[in-house]
Amino acid sequence: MGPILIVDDEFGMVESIRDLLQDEGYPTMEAFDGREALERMAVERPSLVLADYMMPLMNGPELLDAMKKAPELRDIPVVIMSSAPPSFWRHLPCTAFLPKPFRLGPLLAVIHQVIGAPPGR
Amino acid sequence: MTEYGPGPQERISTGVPGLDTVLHGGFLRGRTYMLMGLPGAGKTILANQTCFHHIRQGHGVLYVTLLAESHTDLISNLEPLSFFDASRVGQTATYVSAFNVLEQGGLDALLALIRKEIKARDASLLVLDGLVAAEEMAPSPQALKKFIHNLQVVTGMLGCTTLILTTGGGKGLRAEHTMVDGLIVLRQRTLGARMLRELDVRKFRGSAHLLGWHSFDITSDGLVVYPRLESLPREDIAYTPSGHTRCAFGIAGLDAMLLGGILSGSTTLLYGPPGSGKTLLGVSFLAQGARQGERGHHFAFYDSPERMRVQARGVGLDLDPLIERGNLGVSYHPPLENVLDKLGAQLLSLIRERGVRRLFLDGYDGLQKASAQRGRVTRFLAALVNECRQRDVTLIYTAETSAAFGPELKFPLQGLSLVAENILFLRSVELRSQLRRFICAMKVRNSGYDHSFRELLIGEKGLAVGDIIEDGQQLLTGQARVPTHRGQ
Repeated sequence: MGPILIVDDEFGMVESIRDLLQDEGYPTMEAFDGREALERMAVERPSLVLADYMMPLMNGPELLDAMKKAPELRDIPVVIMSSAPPSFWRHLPCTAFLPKPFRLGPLLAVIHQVIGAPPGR
Repeated sequence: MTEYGPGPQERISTGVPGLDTVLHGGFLRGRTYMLMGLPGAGKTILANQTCFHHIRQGHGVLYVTLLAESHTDLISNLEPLSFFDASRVGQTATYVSAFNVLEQGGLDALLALIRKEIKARDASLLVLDGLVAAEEMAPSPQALKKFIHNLQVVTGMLGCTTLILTTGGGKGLRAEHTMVDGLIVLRQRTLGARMLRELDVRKFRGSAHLLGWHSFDITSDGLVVYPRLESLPREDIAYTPSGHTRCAFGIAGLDAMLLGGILSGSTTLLYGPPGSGKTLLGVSFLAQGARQGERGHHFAFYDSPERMRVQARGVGLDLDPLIERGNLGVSYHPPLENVLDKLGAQLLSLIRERGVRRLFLDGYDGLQKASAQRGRVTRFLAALVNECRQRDVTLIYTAETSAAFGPELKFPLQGLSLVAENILFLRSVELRSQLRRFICAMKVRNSGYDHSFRELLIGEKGLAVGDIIEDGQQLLTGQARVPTHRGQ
């Protein structure tokens, strides 16, 4: 299983989600904006992308659009996280939405649903 | 497409009487709060009281200490308090010392320990006691802020409410205080020889709260907070006062003067010198109400219940059956070091919970002594009056004149109209070489009344108000005279 790529401009969110997912046994990698996320994916293909909506340089929808246009990335599932109202992101062609703020339970639920249980469990 | 949303805003009750009122229901689920106060202010007791209340609701608690104080000491210090439940320690209440982890692994290791312990214990309340130790271990102030921020995000995602205890280093508010969701300051303040405990909610994101400093006590039951009466929200009450019901004193002449009594839900000041009969008038008022099934309460600063009964019996008033029936209650608050907000909480309880309809507050001077600031009493009384009016509680309170005799008349309160719709003025007068009592209705709002000066008679068979003294003059000055008759 490839790592879960966590993309968020808030370091607290990135580090916390990383730690919580690693506790659960999922491998992770991090990026702080969409552009950095693309750079990371060029090196290693993730099994899932968790992306924030609003980020500098390249935001969530722009990252999603770029991934859809790249043949090697288009099939990677993307979960968009946002505290914006649903009308902002309901139209996006992503795998799932995770409204902020969210608890660990819903986070794990959407990950299990998309890529299953962590390796070794 | 799947949607996962946050649930409704949940509250965690503190289990501290009065504090949930100040916080409008308690702490918010998943938020981070800082409790700040110097040593001895009550932070640890407050945190543990909240913990054990949370446990009794069926939830788990994680208590992480960073200071050198052992858990054995902590627990033995808490054992005398009634909220403490030793059987829960180690089960739903987990006490861990993280100082070694912090010392060896730094803030990241501390954060990892907290995260794992919260999940392992299924804790929904975390107390982090002794932030100063983490502060000293942090390589930079930036690192400490980052730690607090990360702690906030993690505990938020885990749905765990966090209380961080800190002395604040005695340096006042600092940068990390802007990061937490709420900041509660506990302090002890010296006023003359007295020591007052107070708390202030400086910040409380996501909810309204009661502003200002609120008094609190530390008792064998833990903390008790007395929200300032003036800051309490007005409860929505469907009640609409009739505006016509009269409340009689049960003293024939007096009730005639007042055209049947004072209006229900009104406020009356009994103003007069010592010995003028104020207390007996108030007690008569309560007794009359009690006879008619209206619950009354004597909130006394001067007389103990026993003295009151003896005094009343002396004028033919037998209060014992009324007290035994539960229609008349007495609470005695010796004029020692009362706290105004505690008195406010007690008065509010009488009105809101005990269904008192006639309240006799004896007297204003006791409130004044209980207040740390001189100007507060009027605002306090205004809040009390408003509460009584809303619930159709008829309030009577006494105030003593500064002089027993003399032409000068000074009221003790500023803004008297705010807090006294009716004023009954009592006077001791030297007349024909005798000391006699007089009563006058100085003001009765929204009602007609007889404003004559009449003699107040206090005898073994009860109180009575006599006829107008036709030939009395200058009674108000206390230096009355009668016309001389030539030839006598």
